[in-house]
Amino acid sequence: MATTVNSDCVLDVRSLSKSYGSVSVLDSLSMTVNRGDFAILSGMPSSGKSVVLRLVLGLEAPTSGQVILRGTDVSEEGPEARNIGYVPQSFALFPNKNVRDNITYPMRLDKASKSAIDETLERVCSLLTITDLLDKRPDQLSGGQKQRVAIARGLAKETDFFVLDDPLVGLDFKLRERLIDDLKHTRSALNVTFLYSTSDTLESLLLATSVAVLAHGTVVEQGPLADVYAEPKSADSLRGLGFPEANFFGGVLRRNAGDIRCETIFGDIQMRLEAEGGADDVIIGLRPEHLRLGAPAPGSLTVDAEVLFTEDVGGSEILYLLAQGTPLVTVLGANSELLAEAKAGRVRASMAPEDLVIFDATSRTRIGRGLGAGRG
Amino acid sequence: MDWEPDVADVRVESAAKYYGSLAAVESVSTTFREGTVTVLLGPSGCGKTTLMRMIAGLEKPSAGRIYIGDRDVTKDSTSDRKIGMVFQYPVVYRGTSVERNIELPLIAAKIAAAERKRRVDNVAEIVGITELLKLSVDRLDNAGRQKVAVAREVARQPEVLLFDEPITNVDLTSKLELKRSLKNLFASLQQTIIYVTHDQTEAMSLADTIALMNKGRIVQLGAPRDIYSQPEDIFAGWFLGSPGMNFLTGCFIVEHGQLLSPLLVAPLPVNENAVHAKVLGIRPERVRMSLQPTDSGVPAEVLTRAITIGGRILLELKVQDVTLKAVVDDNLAGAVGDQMWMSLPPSELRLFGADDRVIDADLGGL
Repeated sequence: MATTVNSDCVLDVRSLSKSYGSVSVLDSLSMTVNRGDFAILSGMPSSGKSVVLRLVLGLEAPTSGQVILRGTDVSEEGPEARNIGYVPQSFALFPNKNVRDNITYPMRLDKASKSAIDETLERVCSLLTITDLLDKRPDQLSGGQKQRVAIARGLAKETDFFVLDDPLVGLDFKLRERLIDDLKHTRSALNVTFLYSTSDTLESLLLATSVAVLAHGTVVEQGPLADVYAEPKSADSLRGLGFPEANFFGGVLRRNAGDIRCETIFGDIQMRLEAEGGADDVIIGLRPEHLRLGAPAPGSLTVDAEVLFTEDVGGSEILYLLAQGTPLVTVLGANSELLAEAKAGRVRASMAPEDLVIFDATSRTRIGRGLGAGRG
Repeated sequence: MDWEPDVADVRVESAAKYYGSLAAVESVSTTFREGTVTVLLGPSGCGKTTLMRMIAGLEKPSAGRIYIGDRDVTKDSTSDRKIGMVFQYPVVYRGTSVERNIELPLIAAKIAAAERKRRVDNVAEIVGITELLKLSVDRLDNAGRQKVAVAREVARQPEVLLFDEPITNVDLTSKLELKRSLKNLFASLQQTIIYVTHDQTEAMSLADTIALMNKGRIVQLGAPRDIYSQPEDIFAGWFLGSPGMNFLTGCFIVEHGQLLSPLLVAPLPVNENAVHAKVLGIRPERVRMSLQPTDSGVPAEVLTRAITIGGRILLELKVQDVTLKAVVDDNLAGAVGDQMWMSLPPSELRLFGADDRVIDADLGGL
């Protein structure tokens, strides 16, 4: 089959669908991964991330659609022919083998040469700082060491493309912090491409160069992380990327010729739509960092809120507010002089209307932004 | 509040617990004050749960003594210690109502009906389950059941309330609500509360005092903010914060009462203790960054940048041979490859010795 070859593109997934019996899990999903990306497949738990990865790896066959790998259609090929490194979610190590044998087992299975095995082993072990564990057995390792060995086993493969299926899930916070650094460093040191799935927002933000957001069985948006973060095209992107999770509230547009308004907890707001038409039921999103406390900036709108709870995350505090029955969240620096007032229980929160992002309530796609205070 | 619970300090004296040659808890001595919430915080295997179980009477100490008030309870059974306990998995009586769940231990203790009702209503209100009292506990999710378990223990009015990771097995969406509920409850109680968790955010948000544990010992005891900003050892600086403190080695020397480093534009006056310093520590959010040259700034190259909590930017920086992390507002963050100017405020620096303990070095004469 003829395919467009783009040398920068390692993986090109086209209109992939997967059903189990009558249950559709993936519906016409398309995404690309470019060479050198740390590509994150971000989605809620059980949104189908693992299925996408298994289809890419060739461990399962799609109901329809194509997987194009390094410019070649591999949809009909088995996993061996695809030559993809794989770090699965659960890290079952062979209990009776030492770390060295655990890591090199897949390479020996592939009949790699001794020199290639030794060279790869040394490289991945030094990257993941497990060289001194090589002679230990899994039961002599801590949870974090086991996970590093499992990651090393997945990475010990002579290839340019690796798939990692949520490898840090369930690990404690500090361990994840360290492994996030290791993984970032490993990808760039090996000069390879990673496709990595996770449902953890901070993990996505800290690792991704590019991101594909999986929701409702399809990739609703993909692109460089910074772009998707700044200009989300889907309510699911805004929700899935960002910590704490963005604020959302519903609204109904009132159209009067070119003047479009919406009543919100911040009062009447004028909206700027990017496309004509569409329904009037909207979802309005606002990032926590755009909901501000303290003296409101010119042009911003305010709402009085009760402070329900504050959560100290070290460098900053997350404030959970309730304004006219709507829950809101915002963040203050741990040293902010506004914190004392906030902890007293009531605040006035403000936002600039242009920071509001408007989505169609049904399709959840972006249709515009706030423009200013609605007059009268 | 119309509570009149008995209250008491919990005092642990040289308590230790060995399993064969393995020391789970090594000679811990501390006092948990009545009316305060102390969180035992640390990574898995640090001994926090073992210490709590010794206080509860569920583990026998290998050595040391445990007092509640002026009573030596070391040899007492759990039921003689006047403690209440809430576990990781909610313990409820299935097939009975929420109200009955809370009331059962009070009936067993032969408390009069009017007093039972008063206690049940009161605690239900604080924990936020008044509307659920008539429902069967079977209809509640884990978070709801945990509230019932908490309410039941509180209604018994024990002197000491122990919580063993009560939020861990609650789903993400209910976690916040349960945390809020516990925070409200703690504010209204006068008992001694000891709470175990591995989650720093939970500890920072709920504790009056954190007892930070590592390798079977309490390494630091203090208010959450104090431990965060003045870690007494490298472990404390690393464990609290996301990311934890930067620890920099081989990038400074101390001589003639001054600390010199390529990270600083000028030598920093220090006292004589500083000659023992091996590690320089600073929290990422305390590193000051500028896109333009500043008087106190040294050139720093941006190696990586990532979005982090609240849209702030986590930068990895390279200054000569040293790499470190900084968290800054997004309007102050350069792009990868950019040169920026970095300054380390003397008041935010911590020096640590070869034993990982902080050194009182009178940095910058502060």
